[in-house]
Amino acid sequence: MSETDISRRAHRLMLWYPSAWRERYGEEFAAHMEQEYTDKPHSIRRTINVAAKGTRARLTSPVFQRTPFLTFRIGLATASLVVLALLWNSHFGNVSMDTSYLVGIGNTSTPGKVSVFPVSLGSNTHEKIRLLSIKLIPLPGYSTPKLVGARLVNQRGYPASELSWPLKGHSTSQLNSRLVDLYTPPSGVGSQYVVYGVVGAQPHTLYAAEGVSITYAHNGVTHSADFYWAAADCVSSKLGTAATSWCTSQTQKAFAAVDRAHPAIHGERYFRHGPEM
Amino acid sequence: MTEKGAGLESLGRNAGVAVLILSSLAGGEKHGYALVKDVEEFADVHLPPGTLYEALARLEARKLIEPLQSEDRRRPYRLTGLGAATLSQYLEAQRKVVNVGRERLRRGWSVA
Repeated sequence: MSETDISRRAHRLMLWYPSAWRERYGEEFAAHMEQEYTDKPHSIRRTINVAAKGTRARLTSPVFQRTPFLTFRIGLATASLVVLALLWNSHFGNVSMDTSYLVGIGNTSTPGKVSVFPVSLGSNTHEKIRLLSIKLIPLPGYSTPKLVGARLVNQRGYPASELSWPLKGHSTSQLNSRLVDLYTPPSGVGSQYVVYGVVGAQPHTLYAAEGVSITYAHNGVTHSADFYWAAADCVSSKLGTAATSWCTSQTQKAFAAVDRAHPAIHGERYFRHGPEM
Repeated sequence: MTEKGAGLESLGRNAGVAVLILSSLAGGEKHGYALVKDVEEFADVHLPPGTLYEALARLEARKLIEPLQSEDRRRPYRLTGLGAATLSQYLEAQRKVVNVGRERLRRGWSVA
């Protein structure tokens, strides 16, 4: 990895943090990350650590406290962009599909409000990809949120630009586990992202899933992929520091539960992938 | 002595990371990466970058550490007088706990 690549990765990772934080700590944090990358080029735990702390800094920033909903959306938008940037920077296969991980870190929403989580399918193939089905993988001990929609978007349709569910052209009705989405992204080099929405109705409840299981068709072959990462949607009637703190602690417990449930993939990429049998 | 509530105990579950950072800086000024390596050396604990900078920001806000000017991007930090006093107070309290625990283990379990 070149110095330019390392520097670019470090700066992309910093986008998790609010602008005031980046202004104060940005340069030294970037320098620090560059040294970390030199020591250990890839670490999902490190990325998640920065994402979680950055999200917390963003949610507890004074700007967020003044305009929680606006900032919440901006935060999610930035998070999605960072995810996209990170994935664009990761290892994409030459032709075959390469899947990466799902991110849903401690989003706090109001009862009935839908949170959006992106999961990526990275590919540099020109072949078209079709999403065939999607379902949440329940996390024992937690309420499973309702899946209210899913869509494949290509790299030109940033998930972040399509917040405020429903995504254009999609309903908010609850999906069954066999969604058939015939959306076909324009052919061309790029990444396809599955964006899905979850909703929980009860206040002061953490809705969490182990991850998401999808099937998709690529080049005439049906594949399946399970993405393991706690997609947590904290439902609170009042946003703010207390709700954020509660959400963060609950989400960390959910993450830990996923770790316990899947020790074999602990610390590795949280997915299982292969042709559907 | 620090005022009541201003000690490391008030950091709650973040006190552990704070102690590691303050203990490292007690040995001299360091930038973030050097600090991580030092903590690894003496405590066998790795501080991930998000955790490190969250703690640095918190300690700086409490004036327990202060940033120094740097010629490159790696900004060093040093312990303040308040930071040294706070760390000392915390370690002293911990020392009492350690002593009691050791003594009771020695009497009751013939260990430690």
